[in-house]
Amino acid sequence: MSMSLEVFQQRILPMKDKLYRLAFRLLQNVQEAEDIVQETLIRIWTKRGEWGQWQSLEAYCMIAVRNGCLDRLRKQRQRLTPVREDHAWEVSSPDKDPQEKMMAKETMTRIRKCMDGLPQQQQLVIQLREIEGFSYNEIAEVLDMTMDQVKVNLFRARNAIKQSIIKETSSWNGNG
Amino acid sequence: MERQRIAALLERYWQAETTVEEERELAEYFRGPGVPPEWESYREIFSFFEQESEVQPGEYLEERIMQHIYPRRQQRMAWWAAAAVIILVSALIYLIQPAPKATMKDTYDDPQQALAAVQKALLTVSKKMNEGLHRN
Repeated sequence: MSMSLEVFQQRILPMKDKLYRLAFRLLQNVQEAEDIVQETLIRIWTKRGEWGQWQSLEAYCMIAVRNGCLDRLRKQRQRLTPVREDHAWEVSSPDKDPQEKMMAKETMTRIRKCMDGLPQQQQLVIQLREIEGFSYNEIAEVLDMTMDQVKVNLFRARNAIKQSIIKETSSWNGNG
Repeated sequence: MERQRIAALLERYWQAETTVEEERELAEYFRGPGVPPEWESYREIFSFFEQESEVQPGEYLEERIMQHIYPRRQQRMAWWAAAAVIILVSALIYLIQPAPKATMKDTYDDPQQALAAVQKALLTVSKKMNEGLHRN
């Protein structure tokens, strides 16, 4: 009992940020992303008797959150389109001068828009690789893909983001 | 030298052929100073990913989860609090409660008789006190 609690607090709970970011990538809503993480971790706790049979606790948590989100999206799609929270990712950097800040913000917005516009699988691969630093193996497991699919998705996503920013830079040069 | 190495890593990065460690090295490089202007847009990309990796849920999420996982801690606390309150209240009641009063009985029906008896008693006490004082 206290063993499970220890495992939960030392291995599962510290994943909450990662799980939240994955949920937010899919749901684009702070409250819903938090709800999914909470629901999922509580459900995983109730299954503590089975933990020993799972290959990787971490992968299981990621998969559970992903499935929870996809499920919710499916239900939402049946009702209405999800609401985006554009303010959720705004960051302020007070040490930069206003113009530089605006330019940096614009570039960030451009990258974000590009990423949000990618096919879902590419978004998830980018999220797990670039933001969470997962190996191809881990990504393949969490997203239920082959290693080749992971690589192809990553290749396409990276190049789409690169293109979006290069286009932006050249359009600035053209205007100025 | 470093620039050549980074250029080669970038080349492989766009081909999705870099390892996690190599990508960490790239991120480290683009975080630092001295990134040439032609790579400025790449710096933005790595900075975007870094910024995204700092996104966190609200601070009370962990607390909310733990309340479901281990409410026993709260329960135990509640029991201790209840026990403390009971002890405190009993102690207060015991301390505040006045001592039982001695009940008095009338010994005389006639006020005159009573006065005489009191005077007699006081006189006896006074007499005994005087005897005691003059003995020294």
